Amino acid sequence: MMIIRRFILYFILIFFALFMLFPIYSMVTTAFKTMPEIVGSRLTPPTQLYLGAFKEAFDSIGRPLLNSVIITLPSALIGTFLGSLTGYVFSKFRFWGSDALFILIVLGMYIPAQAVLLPVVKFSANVGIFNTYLGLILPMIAFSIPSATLFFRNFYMTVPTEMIESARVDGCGIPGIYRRIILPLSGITFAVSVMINFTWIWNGFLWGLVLTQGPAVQPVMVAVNNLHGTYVAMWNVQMAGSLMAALPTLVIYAFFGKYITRGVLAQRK
Amino acid sequence: MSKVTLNGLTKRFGKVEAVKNVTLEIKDGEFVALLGPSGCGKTTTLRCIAGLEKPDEGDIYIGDKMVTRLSPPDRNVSMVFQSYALYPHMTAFDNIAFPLWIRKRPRNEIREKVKKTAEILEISEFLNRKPGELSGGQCQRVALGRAIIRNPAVFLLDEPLANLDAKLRISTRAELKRLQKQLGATMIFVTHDQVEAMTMAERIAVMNNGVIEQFGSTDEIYQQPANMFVAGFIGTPAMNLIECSLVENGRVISLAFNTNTLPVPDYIGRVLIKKKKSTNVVFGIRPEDISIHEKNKPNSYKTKVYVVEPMGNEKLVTVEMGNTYLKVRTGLDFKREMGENAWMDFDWNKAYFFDKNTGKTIMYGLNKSANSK
Repeated sequence: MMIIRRFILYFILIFFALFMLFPIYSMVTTAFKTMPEIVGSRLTPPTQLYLGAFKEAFDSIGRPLLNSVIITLPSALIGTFLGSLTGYVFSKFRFWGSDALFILIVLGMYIPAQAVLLPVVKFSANVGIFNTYLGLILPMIAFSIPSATLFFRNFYMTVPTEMIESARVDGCGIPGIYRRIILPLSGITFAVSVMINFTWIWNGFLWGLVLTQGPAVQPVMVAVNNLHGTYVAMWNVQMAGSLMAALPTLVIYAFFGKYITRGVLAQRK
Repeated sequence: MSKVTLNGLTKRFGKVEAVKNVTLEIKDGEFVALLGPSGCGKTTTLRCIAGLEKPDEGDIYIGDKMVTRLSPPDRNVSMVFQSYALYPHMTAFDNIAFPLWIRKRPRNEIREKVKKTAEILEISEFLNRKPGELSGGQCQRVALGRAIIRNPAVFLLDEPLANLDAKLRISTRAELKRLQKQLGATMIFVTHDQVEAMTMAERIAVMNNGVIEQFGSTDEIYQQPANMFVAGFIGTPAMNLIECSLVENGRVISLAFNTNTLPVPDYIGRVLIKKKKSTNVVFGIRPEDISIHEKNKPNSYKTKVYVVEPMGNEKLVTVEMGNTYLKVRTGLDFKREMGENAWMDFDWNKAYFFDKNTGKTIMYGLNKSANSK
């Protein structure tokens, strides 16, 4: 009876694993095929590795890949740093209105992008940063602060308050405590927050679509969307482009996935 | 080093008054304990002196300088926390040097001072280790080193021995006392352990519910407790406290409780009647001031053994007199067992009498000088 139950369990698990992995298998095999091979059979692996689709995709998304790096890295780093500062303050200091302010900041996590789309576009146009790197970096920083604040605040609450008080008695001010005590203790937390923010900013599509025009500043996810071809759908080029676009976040998750999961679970507390 | 003066210190947390109008003067170079049960306000008082809590009323002086509204770095105090609060990412050297790094002292000066401090505390060989690699006792010494290194006006210690095992606690008590004498430092430490307070401090402030019940030397606190709380809190085992009524029968004055009647010495009876308006008193006597015998002796009272607890070097016997139970310390030669009869008599020199309503001490046995105050 135990064996039958186990068999059924494993069967279900393997079935759903294959179901989830199939799109990735399809993407990878299609990227390495020629169009005739794709038309001939969609499910079989390629007979030989055709790299022409990658070359063609890279011609279109090479610059957007660089744009994404330029936009995502500083956004993730600065957003994480600012979230760390605010998280530190909210975890260790109480002042008039601190609870209300914290709730307001965290509520920012739940504001749907569509609700603020138009105001942000108008604002960036009015101040002259529309279709620039800054026009994307600043909103990404703003949107990453609420979750980073919550993340760091939860982490810093585990830092014993007596450690902070000891530093105060020893002569350290608030900035000094952050620099000498808090920051050195937050190494892994920092890295996890940067990776989480990197992932969602890199994979973002909507903001890249509305705040940029043309490949000069366009991030990679928007460029990948434009690979669909004017008259004929070039599946291998689209899949090659998608694979190249997904690679950075896939690599991050492959090596640091367990830390990211722990970080996300900590945010839920 | 400096004296510390608290004038009418009051601290509230919402509706709770954690410290109520505390006035205290600690002399320069004195070792003082703030002693009391959990929640009595001793740690809050210490934190107010450190500047980690802002008092709602009252003033704090360190030396002649009023520091009530000053931030902690400006008060020239150092503090050792119960958990030591060592910085886990820094070595023991860096932890000790930290207060000097903050003040941007020259590297040579820092190196010399850390070396000297480590020698005093006997931790020179551990300076390159991080707190995670140190034992509890070593961590405590590193925390002390961090406090000592900048030679503050006052040292504040919050339950410094609480996290040590029993054996280490005893040895560290002596070391801390020696260190305080060596440095000539003004030290104020908080503890709930009266043995710690009695063995280490020169004077003890016994606190309860935010007020200081008594502030005096260990002898004064032990032998002349100001009230029932101090009498019951100090001493292990605690003082026996019996609610009784004064009964006059001709010239003999007795204490009546349950169905028992205890005649008291003439002097005590006369003073009690004179000082006490009502007849209700609480009679207190320490376990070591009761003698217990296996046979009836003159002026002894018959009792029954309730339980015997051997302690190794002595026995702790609980006796019952009606619904009243008394603890008695006796020698190993006492052989009576549970349920058997025994006889006890009291050292009336060491008897205490308290007002049942106010808890204040009415008289100290046959101590005429103490009773005349």
